[in-house]
Amino acid sequence: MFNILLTLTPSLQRVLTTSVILGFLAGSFGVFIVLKKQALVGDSLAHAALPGVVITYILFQSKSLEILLLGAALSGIIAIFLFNVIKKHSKIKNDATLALILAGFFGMGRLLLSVVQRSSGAGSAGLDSFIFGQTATILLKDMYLILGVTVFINIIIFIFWKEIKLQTFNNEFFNSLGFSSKIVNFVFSILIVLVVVAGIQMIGIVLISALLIAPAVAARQWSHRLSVNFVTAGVIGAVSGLIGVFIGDSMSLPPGPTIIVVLSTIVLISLLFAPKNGVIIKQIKQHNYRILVKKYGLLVNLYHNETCPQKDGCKLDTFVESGYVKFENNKYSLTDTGLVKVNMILGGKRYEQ
Amino acid sequence: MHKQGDDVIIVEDLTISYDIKPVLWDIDLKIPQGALMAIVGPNGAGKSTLIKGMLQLVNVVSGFVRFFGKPYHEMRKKIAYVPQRGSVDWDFPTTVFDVVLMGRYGHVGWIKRPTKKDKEIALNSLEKVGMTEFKSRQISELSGGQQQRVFLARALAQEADIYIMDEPFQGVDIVTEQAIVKLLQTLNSEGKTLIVVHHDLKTVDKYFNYVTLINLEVIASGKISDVFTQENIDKTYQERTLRRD
Repeated sequence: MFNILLTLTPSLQRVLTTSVILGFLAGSFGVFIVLKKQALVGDSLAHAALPGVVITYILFQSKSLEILLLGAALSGIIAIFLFNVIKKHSKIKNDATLALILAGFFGMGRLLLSVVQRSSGAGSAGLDSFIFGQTATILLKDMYLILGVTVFINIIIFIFWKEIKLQTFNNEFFNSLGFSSKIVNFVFSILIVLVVVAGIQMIGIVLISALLIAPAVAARQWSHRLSVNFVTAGVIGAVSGLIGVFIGDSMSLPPGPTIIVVLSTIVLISLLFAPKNGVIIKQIKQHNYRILVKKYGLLVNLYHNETCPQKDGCKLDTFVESGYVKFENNKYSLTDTGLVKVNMILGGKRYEQ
Repeated sequence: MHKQGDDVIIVEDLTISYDIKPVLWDIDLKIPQGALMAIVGPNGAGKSTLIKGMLQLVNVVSGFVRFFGKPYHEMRKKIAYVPQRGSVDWDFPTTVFDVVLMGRYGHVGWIKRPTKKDKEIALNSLEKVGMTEFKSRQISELSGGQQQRVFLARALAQEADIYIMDEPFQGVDIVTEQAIVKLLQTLNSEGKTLIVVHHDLKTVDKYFNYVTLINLEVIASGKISDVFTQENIDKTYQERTLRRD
């Protein structure tokens, strides 16, 4: 594997590494976004970044990534601020507010972009690549920037793991213990902005939210612990980044959409085949259960009634032969293996004592 | 130490509103040490809001609450809170033990991790609600009654002197209800003070020794034998339409 990597061009190595880091960052962080039911917040923030990028370009006449992303971050923060103000002072529902912000900011950004492109011509070329993302422009320092953001965010999450977890699960209880959910929410907002801004150059404004949401959804199918969810989603994001860039490069396709298509495939597979919640597995389990009930349902009747309900009608003799039922003192009763079978049929989801 | 009969919670002139509409008006309450108190009233009477107001979880317009003579933030570690079961997403990816351990977070504080001792306390709490064998189970796989027990275990893990509970009997079967009542009474016999939002009038005098009847205002509060009269109950359940229309 490593040998293959070394034969690639330096620029492709760079793009691959960046996409893997970014996939891990967005994927793992996305677990919290999904659990906090803030999927649309990520999407709105990404769209809100566009006017920030364009205005920064107008002001500084520079296409240096860190300056443009600073503009993107600022406009994301303004969007969050606006969202909170509207939430506090009006009765508009959250999803409607977010949709308004998303469309409003993006529309304004697109408008500004047209104006800039008309007036400055070739100088502004490439700005529109933020909309769908591209890799050609990823420099070594961009890679380090994204790596830095990833390390920073993961350190914050590691330090405040317990706080973020409880605040996400049970906000009021968290506050009752003397913690401040305002602080956690504030920090979390800043982190979302950072993640989104780190990803828009490569994945694009339109698709970055998929990289945040999809790995979390897929990971939830496979694991049931927050920490495992977090890592699994990160790995799914990273693997999608890797495969997406490979396919994109070899077939000359844009990386953002390719990564997202790979990711969607992983989500689909997870929803269908996950061992506990997968659609197919559930179907198979149900089918098997139907057969089990059809075949051994009489044992349950015997278990409940302790005797056979219809003396002639019930064919318990076949069960006597197979060792599930014994016939003693002119009475049918369950053997130990029979009891195990009954437990199998009744045990399914009955946890109530 | 506080003696039986001392007022451990004092609420004075408490008014709480959502926007500009009052939900609780000028509440005065004295809750003595060792009370096992039901808070009773019709839907929308402000029962949950009252306990959230005590715990500073909602904005208070005026008035104050004292626990052992001090404001809530100084007495937090002596007070355990059981929110409504329906207030959380039970599909959250975590285990029963993990949720109970959350009861220790207040003692642990910011950033630090729960210690071995915290984990022992959490395990003990699980045992007290009879859920030890479920400790590694996904919380999404619990029945309603089991969810409630997990919440109670989490409150036990707080090792508090005062327990404030929001509708612990909501949506649980009769067996669980009896188990919870037994637990509340055991805690009470150990000298703990319990305040429980409740809305089954039939069981109030069976389960509790104190009651507060509220509907926007306190209608009556005190020992069951003194204040849980038909007259007060009628007043509590009629007042609202008279007052708000």
